[in-house]
Amino acid sequence: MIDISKMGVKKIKEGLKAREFSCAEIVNLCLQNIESKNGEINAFLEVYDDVVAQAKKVDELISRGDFSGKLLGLPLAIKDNILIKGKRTSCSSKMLENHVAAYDSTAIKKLRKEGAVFLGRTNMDEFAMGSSTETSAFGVTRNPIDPTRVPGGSSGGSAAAVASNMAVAALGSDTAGSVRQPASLCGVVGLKTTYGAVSRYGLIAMGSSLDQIGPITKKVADAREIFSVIEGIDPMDSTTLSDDFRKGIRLPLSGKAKIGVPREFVSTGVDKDVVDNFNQTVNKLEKAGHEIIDIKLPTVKHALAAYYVIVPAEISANLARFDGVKYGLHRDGQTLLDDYLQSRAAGFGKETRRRIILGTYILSSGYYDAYYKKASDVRRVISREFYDVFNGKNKVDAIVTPTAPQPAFKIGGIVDPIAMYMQDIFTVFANIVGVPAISVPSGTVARDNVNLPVGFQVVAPHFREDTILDIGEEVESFSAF
Amino acid sequence: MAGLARIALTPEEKTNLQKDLEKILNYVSELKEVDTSEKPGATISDREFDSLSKPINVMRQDMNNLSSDDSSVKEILEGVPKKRDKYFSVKRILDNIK
Repeated sequence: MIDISKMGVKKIKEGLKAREFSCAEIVNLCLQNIESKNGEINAFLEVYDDVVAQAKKVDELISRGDFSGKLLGLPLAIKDNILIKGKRTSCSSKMLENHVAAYDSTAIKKLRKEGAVFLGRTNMDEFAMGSSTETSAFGVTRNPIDPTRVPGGSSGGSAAAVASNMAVAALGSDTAGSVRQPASLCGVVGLKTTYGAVSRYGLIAMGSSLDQIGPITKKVADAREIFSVIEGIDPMDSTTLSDDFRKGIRLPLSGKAKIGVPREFVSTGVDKDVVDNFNQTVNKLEKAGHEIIDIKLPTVKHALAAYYVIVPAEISANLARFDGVKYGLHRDGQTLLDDYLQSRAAGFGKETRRRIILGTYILSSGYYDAYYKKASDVRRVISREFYDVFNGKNKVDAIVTPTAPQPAFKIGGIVDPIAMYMQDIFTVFANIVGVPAISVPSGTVARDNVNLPVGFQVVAPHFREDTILDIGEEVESFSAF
Repeated sequence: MAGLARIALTPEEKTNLQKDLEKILNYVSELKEVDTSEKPGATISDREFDSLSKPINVMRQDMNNLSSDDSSVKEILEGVPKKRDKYFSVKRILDNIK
């Protein structure tokens, strides 16, 4: 009997090699779980009709003795904003409900080449705008640990799929915490890669100066494997950086790390038991021999406000392409202008409209300096503070924080937009600065007699994914699951 | 603003949105407090820091790999809501043209 909940990249590959099971069997176990659980959880919006055929292809490779694929037979769930040629990709929006991708994203191409199997597309906040997957036009996703609660967001469907063993791993995208926060709320691992590490070609854009694709997995080891496949320079995304540059910057950690804790920042606006859980993990890291240093990042608390100027501005520009002419939903009006107005009103949900209109205002003549320029200046100040912490007299190797200020909250429990935005307070700065960050499960806190998972976040300088993956694995070894 | 953003709104939606936007703008106004001028005693100067993160131009060959009977053109056209032959079809924007 194969236990799919214990499966990972390495185990699957070894099992396939030893002919303990076939790829079809592994994929079937996922499909069975989807069949029995997805009705309630709503993690998948669509299960692809060619999953069995994809598995068969992998089994054919195996029968020919070809085990070269790094992710051979790995069943993956894909967030509904990452293009797979010939498949619907809707961004969980009415605007793109029937949109069929005309090309593969670079990440998908790379994963396919290494033998991964794509199970289907997962629910998300509409156009990745939200922290609960409640803004999806196709219903909320429920947290598998407590179905009355949200899975986090925006990659809530991907995190819920992995947490409920409907998939072994998943892809998400992270603009302010959209991979890490749902991973934290669902008790799985989420990696946000360095800005420029993974190509966004074929990722439907939200905030282009912030978006990154990242894996959601059960174990850190799998995040490492998937990252090693999807990273790399891509002529189709000019923000990706050359592998030479990456090699040059990666020096191995000398055994134990210097870990910075921004004490003041992590103790404000956080549930008490979440801070306690965080402190316990920090203590364990210290006991394990790492040096813990108190650090100050005086401006980091403003990262979220800067984000809510920068991201609506980028959204208003990126989402201008949805005009009912080139693709997506079309509503007929009296004039061409009317077509635009009606199509966009019918296609976009509440939060998406809110951010587009806010961005339009922020970028309008006369307000640019007060908002966008100021936010960009603050972004620079925050980036400098990180530079100083990583390169100044303390020279820390990593910074740690809780991933989210609270565990999974009730569906419909947060209505105020600002309160919802606050869910990203500990994750957003990594996007603002562009550095890599990982969320690893670090235990649970109880709410209404249910033990809900809490995540521990590790952040490192640009292109030091190796550091956060190493420390992440150590944190993983502390916790009971 | 909604007009500039090309989104039609009902009067009720306008009122609600106005309230939300006021809240958000009020929240982001905390940025005004942040001193963004150069601070003494930093590891490196603002100029040095900016030179580290200076954007560089990234170019690639601009090639047209498509021909009109290319399958990807067909695939793209399949997603177009209104088309005529291989063109997007939109309403006339200039009046009184014969």
